[in-house]
Amino acid sequence: MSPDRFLWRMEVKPLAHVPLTVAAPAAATLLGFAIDRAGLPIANISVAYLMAVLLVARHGGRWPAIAASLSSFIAFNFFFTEPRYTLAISDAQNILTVVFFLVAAVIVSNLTARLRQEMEASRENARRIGNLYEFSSRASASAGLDDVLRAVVDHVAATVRGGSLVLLPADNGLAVAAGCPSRDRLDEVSWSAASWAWRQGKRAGGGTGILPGGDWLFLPMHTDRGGVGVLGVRVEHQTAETMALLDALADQAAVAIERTTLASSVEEARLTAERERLRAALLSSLSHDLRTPLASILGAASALSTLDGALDAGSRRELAAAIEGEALRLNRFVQNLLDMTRLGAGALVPRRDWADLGDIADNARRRFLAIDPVHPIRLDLPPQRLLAWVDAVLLEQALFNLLDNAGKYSPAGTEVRLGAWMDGETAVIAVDDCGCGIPPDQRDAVFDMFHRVGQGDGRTAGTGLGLAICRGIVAAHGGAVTAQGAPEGTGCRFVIRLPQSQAPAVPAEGT
Amino acid sequence: MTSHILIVDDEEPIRRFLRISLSAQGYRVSEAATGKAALAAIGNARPDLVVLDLGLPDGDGQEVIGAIRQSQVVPIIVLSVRADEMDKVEALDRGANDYVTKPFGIAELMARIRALLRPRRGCDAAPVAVGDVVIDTVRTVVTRAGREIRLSRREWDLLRLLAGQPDHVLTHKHILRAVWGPAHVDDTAYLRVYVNQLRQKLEEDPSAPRLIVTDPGVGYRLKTDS
Repeated sequence: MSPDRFLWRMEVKPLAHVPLTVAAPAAATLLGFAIDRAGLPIANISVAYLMAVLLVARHGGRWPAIAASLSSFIAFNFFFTEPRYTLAISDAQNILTVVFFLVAAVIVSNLTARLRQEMEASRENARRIGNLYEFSSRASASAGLDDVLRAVVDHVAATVRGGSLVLLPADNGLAVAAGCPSRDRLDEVSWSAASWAWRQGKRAGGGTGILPGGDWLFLPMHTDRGGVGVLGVRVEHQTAETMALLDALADQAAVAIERTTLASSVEEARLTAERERLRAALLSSLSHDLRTPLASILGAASALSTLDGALDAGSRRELAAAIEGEALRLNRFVQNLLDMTRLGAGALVPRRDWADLGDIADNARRRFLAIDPVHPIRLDLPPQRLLAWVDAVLLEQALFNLLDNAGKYSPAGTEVRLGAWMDGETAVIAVDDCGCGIPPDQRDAVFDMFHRVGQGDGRTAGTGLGLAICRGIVAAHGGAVTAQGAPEGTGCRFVIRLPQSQAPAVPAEGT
Repeated sequence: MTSHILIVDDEEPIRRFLRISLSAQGYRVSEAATGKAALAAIGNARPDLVVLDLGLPDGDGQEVIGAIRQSQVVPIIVLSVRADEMDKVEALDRGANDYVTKPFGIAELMARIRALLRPRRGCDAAPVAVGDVVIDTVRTVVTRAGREIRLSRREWDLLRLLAGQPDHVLTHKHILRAVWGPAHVDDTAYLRVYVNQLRQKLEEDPSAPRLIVTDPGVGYRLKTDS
């Protein structure tokens, strides 16, 4: 049911029943002549008039029925009772006829009227339930607070065929949260009425006894937990039905609004917990991953400085190499933290230029081999150049992190494959390893910060940041990186897909 | 004659480590902790090479490069903790000759210093030989394992530019301006395509180049020592 139709009333049109009120007794009179001509007793004619009165009572209500009964009596008296063609009443029986007509008219019209009222009431009820049902389905289909507010004000405005407002508690008092038609100002009186309604939890404003000066009527919205806000309506005619419906709508709106605020506070609690978890993970990572290389560096350096005379050349070289290697490891970790911070702050904007994917892959490979010489890397590149519109430095870091990850999770001596190709207008880069693979249910989670497959003491050394950084870099390029099962054998495959546009044409030249 | 190297860095530990390492290599080393002191030292002592940190207490190292270049051609190697390629490119565009990103190993810095202190190549310079590739810029001939390689005109222009300053990084913009002209300084795609073509013709394994190497986000260099 459309709310627009809701306030349609059966309008009282006093003259609507005149034709029937005239026609029914007239028809009865004609029938009376027929009965008379047939020589049947006159009592039958009065029954015909009674039928006419009942008909009018059924359709026209009380006053037309009384009019019909009087006119029927006059016609009956004039045309059919002796002396005919006069209005003289000679017989007590005829007076009784008038009384019968009148009594029948009143009883039947009353019965009919009550029936009609009951029908009207149940139709009204059905309309109200339909309206509320429609509102609650709209409100529950809305996800956020804004959508719910929009649904409330639209629906209420359409229902009362006027204006509506929702005011929610703000820092100091109330503030307009939504309106239909939208508005953010109210006159002074209406503000006072709204505030009163909010404080007292009762209706206020136009049409009520409290601050009735403004156009707006305010209804408090509250649930079991307390007040939610105030619903304002501007309506031409306040009827009892409208008010009852508005009360019901205000209750429903309160529940719907409260639901969204509850949902957002649950979401907030979840985010806070997630932040706490990340902070704890970051702290543990910092203390472990920063201290471990620092301990080696400090140990080796102090050995060099204090045991200088006691060390042979080979030992000194070994200690110096340990310092160098651990310092490089520390540097990579700090770089990861920096990258992550820049990603988190949204400061990592790719500086794109045309770059050769093969070149990027080769650079990532060289950097990887410098820190991990035990995993041979096979580059798998097509002979034609692979020009891509990317930030070469960032993408190289993303590839390096994938290689680093592959190296950490696959046995020494096994090959890591790094391939790149174009798939239509998408540049694809894949890293395959021969490691232990990733269970399908963890293939998305591996990109989370500080996630490591196999938690606990036996876990592989690493910062748990590499893949998160890789995903951040690829996402900043508008691409996606996914973990998959290896195409053959054990291990896993990481695939980066970067949407590309057509590479520019490079003018040809003669040799 | 031993070369004189000026180290400009506000971090004492860095200066100490550089002084010890470079002295051990036979260089004469002097130090400055600020840009002002550096400019004074360059004017007075006439060093053969400057190692310049970009983060100085009395102003940006980029400004110091500009001030040096107003009067001096002394080679400059920039040290920067910033891994930001834009800083490197800016320093190179302002006149620095090369860069090393902190933290760095001494081997990396030594290679850059050696390349910059090598006598400048004149027009009649001897051919550049890298592995089995010989680039003769005078006769405009390039051979690989004794066989002549045919290059297009642009390929040759590009190779000659890189070979003119072996082991020096040349920025994308610099190369594009020199080979394609000032209107094409942003057409990096041209450069990618021609570098790729050169690698296909000159490199043993074009997917793992050893001759024309990429400085990611910065430029290219022709590498003569491995």
